[in-house]
Amino acid sequence: MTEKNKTQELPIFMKTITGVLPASFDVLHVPLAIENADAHLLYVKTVVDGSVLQQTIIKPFYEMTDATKFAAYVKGMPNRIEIPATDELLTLLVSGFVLVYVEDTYSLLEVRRLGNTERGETIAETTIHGPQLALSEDLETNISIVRQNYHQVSLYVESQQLNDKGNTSIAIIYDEQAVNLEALRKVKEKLDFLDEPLIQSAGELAVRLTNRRFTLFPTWIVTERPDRIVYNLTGGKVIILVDNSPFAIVLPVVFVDLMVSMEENYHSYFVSLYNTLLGWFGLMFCLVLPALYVAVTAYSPEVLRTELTLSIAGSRIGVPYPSYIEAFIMLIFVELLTEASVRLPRSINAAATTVGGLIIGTAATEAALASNILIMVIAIVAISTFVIPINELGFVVRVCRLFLIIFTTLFGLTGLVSGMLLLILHLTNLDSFGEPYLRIGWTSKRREKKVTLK
Amino acid sequence: MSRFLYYFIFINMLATITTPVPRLLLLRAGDGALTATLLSIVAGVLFTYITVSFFIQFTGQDIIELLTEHTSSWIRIPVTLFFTVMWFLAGTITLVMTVFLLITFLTPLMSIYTITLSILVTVFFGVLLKSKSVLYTLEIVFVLSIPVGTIMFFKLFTSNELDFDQVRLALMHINTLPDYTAFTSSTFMFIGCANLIVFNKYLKEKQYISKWSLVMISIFGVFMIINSYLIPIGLSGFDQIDQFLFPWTSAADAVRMKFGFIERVVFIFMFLFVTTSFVSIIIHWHVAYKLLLSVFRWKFLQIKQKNYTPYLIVLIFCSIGMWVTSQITQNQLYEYSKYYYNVLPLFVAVLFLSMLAIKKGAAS
Amino acid sequence: MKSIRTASMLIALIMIFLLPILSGCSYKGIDKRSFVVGIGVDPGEEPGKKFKVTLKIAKPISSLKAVTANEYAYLTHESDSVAEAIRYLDTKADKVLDFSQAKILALNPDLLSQELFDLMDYFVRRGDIQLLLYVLAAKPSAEEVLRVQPTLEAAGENSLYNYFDETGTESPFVTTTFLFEFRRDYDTKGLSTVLPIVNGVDGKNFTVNHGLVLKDGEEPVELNLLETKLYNSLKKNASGFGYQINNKGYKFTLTFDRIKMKTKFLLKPGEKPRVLVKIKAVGVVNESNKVLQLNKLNYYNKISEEEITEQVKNLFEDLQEKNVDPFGFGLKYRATRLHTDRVLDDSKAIYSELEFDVKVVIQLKSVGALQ
Repeated sequence: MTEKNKTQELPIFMKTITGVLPASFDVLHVPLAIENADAHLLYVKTVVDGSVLQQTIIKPFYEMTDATKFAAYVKGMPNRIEIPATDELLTLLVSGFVLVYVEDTYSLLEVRRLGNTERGETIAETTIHGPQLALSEDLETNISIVRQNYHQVSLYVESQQLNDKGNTSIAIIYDEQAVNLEALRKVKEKLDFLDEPLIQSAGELAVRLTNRRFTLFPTWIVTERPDRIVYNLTGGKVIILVDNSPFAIVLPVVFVDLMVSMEENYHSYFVSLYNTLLGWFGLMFCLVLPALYVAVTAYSPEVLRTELTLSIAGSRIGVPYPSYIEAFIMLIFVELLTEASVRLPRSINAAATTVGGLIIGTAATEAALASNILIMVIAIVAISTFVIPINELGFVVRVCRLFLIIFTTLFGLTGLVSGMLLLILHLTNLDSFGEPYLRIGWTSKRREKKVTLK
Repeated sequence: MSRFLYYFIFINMLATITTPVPRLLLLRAGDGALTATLLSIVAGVLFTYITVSFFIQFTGQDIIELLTEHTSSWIRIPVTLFFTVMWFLAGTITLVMTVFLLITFLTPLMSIYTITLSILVTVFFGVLLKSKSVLYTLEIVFVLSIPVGTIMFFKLFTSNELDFDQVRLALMHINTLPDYTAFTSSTFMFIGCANLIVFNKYLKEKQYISKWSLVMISIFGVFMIINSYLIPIGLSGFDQIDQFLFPWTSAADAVRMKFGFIERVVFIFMFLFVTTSFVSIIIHWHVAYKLLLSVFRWKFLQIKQKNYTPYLIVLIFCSIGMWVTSQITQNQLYEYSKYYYNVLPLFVAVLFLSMLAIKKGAAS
Repeated sequence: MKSIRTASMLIALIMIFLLPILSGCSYKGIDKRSFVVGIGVDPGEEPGKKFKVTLKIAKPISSLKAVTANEYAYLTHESDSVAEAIRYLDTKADKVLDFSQAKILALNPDLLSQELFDLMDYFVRRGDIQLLLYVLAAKPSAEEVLRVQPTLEAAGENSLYNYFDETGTESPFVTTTFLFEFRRDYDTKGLSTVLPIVNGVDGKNFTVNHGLVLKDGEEPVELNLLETKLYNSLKKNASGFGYQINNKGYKFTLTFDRIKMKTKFLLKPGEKPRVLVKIKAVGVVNESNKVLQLNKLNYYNKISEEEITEQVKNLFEDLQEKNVDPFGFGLKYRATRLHTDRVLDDSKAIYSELEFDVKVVIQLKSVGALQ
């Protein structure tokens, strides 16, 4: 091929472009010639969809056998854009554009080979009744999924490329009528000033969008569910889709948003209310229970009923170390178990859970390394962590409960109250792109916008 | 009225349980506490009405701004400092009382420093928050305490062991002359709306004061007075009530939930009141800190675009709180807080006078 | 730069996690505490020692399923004061004595004839002892009652609690007196406190069906079965089985659902002070020696009323004679008139010459399932 390139006479502009492009094996310059017509194509083979190129450009050329006609045909193609500046042209070429030279004019045609457009099943957030398919890994497919779920003229899609090494394309989507303009402005500002060498996934981008250096609570949601995206669009949130990532970022997010499971929208009122309550109870349990265990066993057994106190005291017979170490060990063990089951292939992971959970749990009590009651507490905690609808919050809660245990170990029950209050204080102090992170929203969003605490 | 105003007033009432007020009232059970509390309801509602209707005229401005705008600095600085002291002391009394309460009932083995520290860690961060965040925290804590509070009132008021003859006996002392300390200390319950002097800045909603809100405040006030005065009498008896150092907690210990998860309800109540007292300390000290900050802002604490004066002020607050808690005895607490409550009328007078001055300044 | 920050953050986090190791002496694990479930006070046996204190300590059971009976340890010591004895007992136990779960305070009746303020105040003053402590008079002695191991007691429960906490037995014979009530009623002028008498029969069983009226400065008055039952029904609103009526040839037993008592003072100058006691009871007939007719319910009401009026009046007069006032007529007097300096003295004077007008209204709803 390269042999052939050399024999053909190249247009000057194309020559310079080829000179700038690296001499990779997949950079192709294809001259087309038939009778008195000739044209030149320049593209990177691996990012261009070959069959589309063949069908829409090469084949018509040979059928027309007339350069003027072919030039007109190229000009009318829907995927044609004007030639931009050389720098940008190069980026476009490496991301799947074809430079066409015919009749002394250059055209840039998008013949991108699409990424993975297949939509997988939802994995991270499953529901019983909601849509079962997640986003795909292709930006345009994802945009079209959003559009198909949300037929509104006011839906705005702004495309943008990040200035990192991957030149990742992202799309900012929002409903122009509902969106929180202040937040949108801040998000855009952040995106513009983003200074990161490499961003590969939605989650990574989301982390880089926050102000603070040390963060604990997420001010974003990374979701794979189209229905959550649409739900949040109507709620005035900004959605950011990232190319090659099957996840979308929802911004700005406040604490309460993290407790919304999409399942709630698909049930009758009281059932979904009950589910919401369950979620909050789960949150409370997995935050407080281990700390409460430590507080009760170490400082204030008088809080409990006599029978329970004696049975806890009985179950701790022979446990050689104080209850906070006991709680720490078991908690960390459960954390390891959860992490392990995430990493393991699905077929083995049930076995790991069984071995870890059941066998080690029983063995630990038999060997008097942990009390029965603690094993129960830990099990409840582990289960209720999974009740929290959004994973990110689940991770945060796991950190927070360690913090609460420390506070309780130091200060007893008062420490527990104090620590909880400290958490609340921290949450109310946070803000997510200008919105207070934790507050009780009594009034509707619209009224709030008019009269609000400033 | 803004919902936050109700929170201020109600939290202040709830937090009186962790102040010496119940004991000061019950000490005077035989002579003049009852009439004093009744009078204090009237006085408190009147105070609320006057204060709120004053601040309604200046929506979105706190007293610091108003004083700077409409009066001269020789009025502003002493008045601000006086208020600072009053608010700081209100928070400190709650702090000391809470620590004593905890050390007597919850963790008798723990050292007084540790308990105080456990409170002060949270309070330190709480006081330094943005005022808006303090408001949100206040709201969350208040809403969370509603269910527990409801259970508490229900359990206390329907307790089988409550002896109504004792309550009636206490009510029969209505013919005594009101006692001054009892009056001032129970008025303290009602002056939660005084926090407006700083927080008015953040209540941007146009407010109005209605008859209903005043009625609601009085009803809640009556509830709290029954709770902190009559319930302890009904459960611990009229004749020897003055012997109890923590009359309310001792009374609440007499209530049990036969089939509850926790049998001794007093612990649930203690959670409620410890939390409200936390918030109460945070609010009081936050006001004090804001007031003090308006007077002092030291240049030398300016490091890299950040002024560290707030941290220093709150640190000083916390250290004084720690020192006072470790030094004071329970008897001194009751004695000194009596002086504090006795000074309250002076505070009200100063507040009203400065309000008058501001109004005059604004009119001219 | 970034890695240094991360490293320092990590170190700081690890330091925080190690912080609990510093937690001080107040950290007392549940397994390092001995839970006292009962406190008994007897008069001292050795000369010069006023009190003998017995503590009943529960041994924690590691597996409730495996054992059939509870195990307790008992510690006794004689001393001049309760506080001193308990201090001494602290040294006898290897773990901290935790009084927060104690629910039984057994007092020897011999102690009860003396002044009780000191004894009571010690228990109330200790903040860690709950005020929901059941106070009882223990026969033959506090120690023996504490040492009773009932045959019906299962592992993990304390059968003495069941008598008083109203979740187990509910009998009109059992008086439940909490520590705070005991103190309140004992302290109040114009009211006497009543303790249940627990009889530890041959170390295997309890009987709880008598009451003991205590008043400062008076000898304790023991109530018999009927009196205890009437007291519990009228004062504590206890209800249940077992009101025997034996009148006009009828013998039947009544069960009351509700009993209410109202009092009113009728004071006229020149006359003896009178008190009108109205009792209203609603119930059914349980057992009878004759066939009962449904349409004659009113008649049965009447004969029961007569009988109970008689019983109640006897009880009141008997108590009045012994100068104790568990029903609190003195307090009721004080609570129904405006306070003056004379009310308190009046109430004392009036009680001794009070005349009782008892009016009982009984509403029988049915005669049971059978005529």
